[in-house]
Amino acid sequence: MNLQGLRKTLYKGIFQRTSTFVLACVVSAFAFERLVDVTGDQLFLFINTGKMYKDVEKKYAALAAGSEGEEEE
Amino acid sequence: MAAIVGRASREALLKVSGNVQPQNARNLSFQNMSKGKKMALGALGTMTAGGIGFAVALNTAVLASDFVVHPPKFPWSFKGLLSAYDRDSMRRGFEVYKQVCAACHSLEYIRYRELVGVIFSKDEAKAQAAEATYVDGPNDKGEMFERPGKLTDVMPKPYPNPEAAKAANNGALPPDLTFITRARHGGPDYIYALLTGYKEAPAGVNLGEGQHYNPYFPGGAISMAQALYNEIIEYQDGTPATQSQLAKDVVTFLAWCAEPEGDTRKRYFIKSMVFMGVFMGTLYYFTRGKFAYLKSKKFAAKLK
Repeated sequence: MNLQGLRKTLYKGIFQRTSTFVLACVVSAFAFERLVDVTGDQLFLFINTGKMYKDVEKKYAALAAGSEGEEEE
Repeated sequence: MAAIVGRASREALLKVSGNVQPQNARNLSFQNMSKGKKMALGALGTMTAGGIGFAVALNTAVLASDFVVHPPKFPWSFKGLLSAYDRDSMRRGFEVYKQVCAACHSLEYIRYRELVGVIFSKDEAKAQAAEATYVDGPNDKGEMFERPGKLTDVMPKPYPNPEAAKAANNGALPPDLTFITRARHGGPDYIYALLTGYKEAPAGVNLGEGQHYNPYFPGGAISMAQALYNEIIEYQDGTPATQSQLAKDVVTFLAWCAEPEGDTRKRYFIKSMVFMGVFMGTLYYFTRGKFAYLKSKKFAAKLK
């Protein structure tokens, strides 16, 4: 599809009517927020691997399971 | 990003539509500015840069006249724009606080529930709280009673009030540790250096009764005795409890106490940077679009 055709389709489908325009705004805002929120959190957790609570939880659960003083690292 | 958008769209943005005559409008550029104006602007720029440079130089001074040793910078787990507090270290730090520091220092603004999901599970935090007793009441007979701690209780205080704390410590008040890494010059580095920096007093330094020598403490004479020694406590996870390990862990815990919202702030930093990147591109496009109209116009007055 050429650029002119794309513009025409976009206009006809979204921008021409207020109802579809508002709907497009709301849907894209929601999608953008989810995308940024989830990827941002994933990035933060990836950078801080091994420093979060779930790692501590795992470690102390393992310690409690083998509580004969065997230190697992 | 803005540069890419600009390069791709410069032509389109600067294209004038309609029957406006494209002209080179020079009244918004530096090219035809008078010499005096150019010099004035240059002087202003130089003065601003000089002022900023002077301020920076003042702030990075050595301060060699101070009677205090400045702490070195340490590579903290939470140092950096995107670095979280090391929860493993924090949990050990809580053990150190509870078994060593809590003998004299309160932690008034931290509640047990705030540790849930950070270093303890809910049950572990409840068990920690239940180890302390609190005076509560009055009950229906109007009497105060004692009960084990709950998740909503603050950390137990070692002394009932500041006067009792002073009376027990040679007149010196052990500070509350909640915001201590924010409340001292040098922050976590200073607390670490102080905890590990106790020395024999050099010749010529007179210490009062119950005072100790620490070069990192302003003035050198500190009322707190050295608290951390090798193997003074035993860690639950079997980490060797050397003095530096103890100090590092407790400082990590106290840094979290002072800024428990630090990790959330760093998460939002990532998200706001993404958003602002997109917003900056949009704003650049919008600005160029608006200015294309203005910059291609020339106003002239014909005087008769």
